[in-house]
Amino acid sequence: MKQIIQKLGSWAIDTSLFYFGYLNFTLNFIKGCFNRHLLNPSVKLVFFRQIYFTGVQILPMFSIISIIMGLALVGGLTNFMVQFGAQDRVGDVLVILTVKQLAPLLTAILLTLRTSTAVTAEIALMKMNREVETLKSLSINPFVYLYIPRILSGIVCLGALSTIFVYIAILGGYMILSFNLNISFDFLIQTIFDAFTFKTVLVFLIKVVLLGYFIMSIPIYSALQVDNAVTEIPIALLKGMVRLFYAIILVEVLGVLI
Amino acid sequence: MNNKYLIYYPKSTVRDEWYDTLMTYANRTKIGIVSYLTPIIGNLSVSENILVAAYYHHRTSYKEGRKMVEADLKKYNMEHHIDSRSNHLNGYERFIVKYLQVKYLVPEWIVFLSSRSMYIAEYEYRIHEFLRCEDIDKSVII
Repeated sequence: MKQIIQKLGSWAIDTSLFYFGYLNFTLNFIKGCFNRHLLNPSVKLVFFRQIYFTGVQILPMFSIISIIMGLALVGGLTNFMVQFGAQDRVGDVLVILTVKQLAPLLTAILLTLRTSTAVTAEIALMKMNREVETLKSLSINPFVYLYIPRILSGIVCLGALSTIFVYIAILGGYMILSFNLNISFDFLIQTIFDAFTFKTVLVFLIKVVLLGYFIMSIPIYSALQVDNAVTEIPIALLKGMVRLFYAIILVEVLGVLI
Repeated sequence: MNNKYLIYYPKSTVRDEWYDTLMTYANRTKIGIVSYLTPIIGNLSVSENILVAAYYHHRTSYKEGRKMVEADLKKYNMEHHIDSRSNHLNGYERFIVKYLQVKYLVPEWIVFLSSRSMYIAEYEYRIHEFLRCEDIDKSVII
């Protein structure tokens, strides 16, 4: 019984410390967004490099996955709905599924697998090797130079890749399965545009911003907990990914509630 | 070196204390710290490492910065390392890159704190030669 209480207490303290620290990190992020050095060419270079690593290098794999999802979702679903005479509702279902749910979620999962893990390892190593101290010794704010460009690139890339996902999934899915469908492409596009509402776009944008922020900030924050031992890096990685998983679920729940 | 100051620390805990104090000063005023405690950044090339402070504080242009770095590296026979990463450098070369990084910050004072830990004894004479030849206005060796 004593052990259970001790474990519960330890968990409660750890969780509170995490939320307090993360809130502080978020406040520093917001404060850093108004720092005059943020528009500095060196910071812009870090931002564009991160865009390249996060959003450009992933494109071939991302396109293939989008086409496969398009095939399964747009092709399969449209075919299914046409068979049951519900072609008028195709646009509604596709917009809800692709724009509101699948595009931000799938993009976030892919970026988590590829970029968040890399960012955790990179920042943890920098922290362990005292390279973050080096930046401080040169009067360079690590928030402005290291963290904010990565977080902003996460938001931008998630938005761009989610939009690309919607296009590829709908166009690719339709083109590959068009021979099997009884509806014209014009009709499909028309129903999709009719189904678009302000709320859909708002939910999409909120999810993109929140997920983009989480997929970069949680790994960075977890990486900064590393001290001097190499063995702490996998622990930071593991903790970061688990926290990120919960954050993604939270955003999904929020998306459904809005 | 003009205005040379040489300070000895009695034990490593004192050195760490001084380092912490220097770091707090470095955040407010520009003090350049050349020390193994502030290593060069592993995922940046030599030229990027040297110019990181110049780009951030002085908005030096990339072309101009690269030219200056090329000239400086030539002085130390390191021009072939301009695009290398830190793992391709020996202790002496790392010391030079660290020094140039600090020099481009244009600090009021340059502090060499336990910089001997950055290189092995083999490079000792080269460091001495560097300290003799280099013209640094305000500097301290701890």
